[in-house]
Amino acid sequence: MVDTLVQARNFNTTPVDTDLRTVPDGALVTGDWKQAYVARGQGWHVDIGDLTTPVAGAGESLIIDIDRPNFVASVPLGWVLRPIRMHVQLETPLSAGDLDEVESLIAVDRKQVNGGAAANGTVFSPFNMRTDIIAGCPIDVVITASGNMTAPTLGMELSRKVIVLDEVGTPASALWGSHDHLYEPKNPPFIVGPAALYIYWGGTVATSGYAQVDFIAFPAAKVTNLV
Amino acid sequence: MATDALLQATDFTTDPNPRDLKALPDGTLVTDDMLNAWIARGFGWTFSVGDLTTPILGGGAGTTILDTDPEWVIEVPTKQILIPLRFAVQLEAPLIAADDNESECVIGVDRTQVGGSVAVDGTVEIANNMRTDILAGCPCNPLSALTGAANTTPTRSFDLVRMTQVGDFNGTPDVAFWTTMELLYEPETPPLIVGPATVYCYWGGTVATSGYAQVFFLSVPASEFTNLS
Repeated sequence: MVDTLVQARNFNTTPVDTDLRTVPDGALVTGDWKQAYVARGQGWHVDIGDLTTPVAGAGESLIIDIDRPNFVASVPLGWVLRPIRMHVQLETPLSAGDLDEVESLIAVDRKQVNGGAAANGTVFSPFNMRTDIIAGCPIDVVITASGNMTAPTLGMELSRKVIVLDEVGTPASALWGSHDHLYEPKNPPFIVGPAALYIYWGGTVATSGYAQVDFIAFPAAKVTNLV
Repeated sequence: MATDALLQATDFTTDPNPRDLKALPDGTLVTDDMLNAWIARGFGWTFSVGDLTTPILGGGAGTTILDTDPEWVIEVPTKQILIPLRFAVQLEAPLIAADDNESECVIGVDRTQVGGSVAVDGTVEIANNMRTDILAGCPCNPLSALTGAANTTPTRSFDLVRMTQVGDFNGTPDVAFWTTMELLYEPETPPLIVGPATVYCYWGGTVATSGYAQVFFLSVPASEFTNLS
């Protein structure tokens, strides 16, 4: 019998053969693809809301308004975005009556970027999830719509959370509970540009909130020739 | 003394090529799971139930669950296998009318038949590919908001997941607090639902319950799995 030491090529600019490793009991050490992308500098992070200041839901009439998102990431042609963790926390407002509603929605326009975003919101420069990397993100991000953007076609919903109030006695005296919306899928979709990823929040009463968004972006050529 | 072997594997292109396996600098082999690979190859599909801010009303005649009136189904034809990835349902908990009022959701499988539902009995849903550059149609048939006696009565072979909430109010009805009702089915090890078969989702209650759903699944040729032993 011949012993074989197994190696794999690493991700250096000029790949080098690297010994695979085990822990003392012989278990092969493996890492998942998301962690590898982050290690290679292709993971990005966005925050919405300041230290103690949330952002209001952007709809003109408080409820979710399709052309006033709280977050839009426009994926250009030639790129793919895969969401890995999107977390929204809303400060549920004082209720006005039974059936008051608070909700958040994460969805995709699979056909177009949002060309009207930058002029109607706050441009955000995503942070690299490897914090030593300062190069710019290939995905354009705008948060907190202040005016009407290009209305998307939300052909794909990724995640939603909604709370409906059933109040005790006098309005503005009920306890809603927390609105904590976490989307961290095991198998996220491949959002291939041109396309855009959106987050909305709002309600029948004014709702403010925060969000933290992590995603991976890589060249589309890696997947578009697979069968 | 050991010999060195550099690992390669064949890729999924039309004309497959050997490709180097990759490691991180500390020697950690980078791996991916097969479900993710299926999505990258264009076998992942998704559809949603409910519009931007408008849920759909559940149950038979707007109340309790009725087996011929599911809120959404996926019909799996012969020669296809459906693998559930992520089924998420959010219900708008209704106002309580009395103690023991109940609101619930259940997702199950009929492993024996497709529903045989026709478009007139519900809304035909167009499933989008989870690789958004792919425009081809889904081999499975999703529908939503089915009603009507024309629907085939399913044989509920097994449940995948369920959620239920019972109201227990303090004092006058219509003043209790239900809390949110969310159901997430994202199994580590999903079943293989081999066509002909149907996945059913119902929601409803002793008080009218509306809701939304986001449904993600794989549809792969049955020949990939059915000759294994």
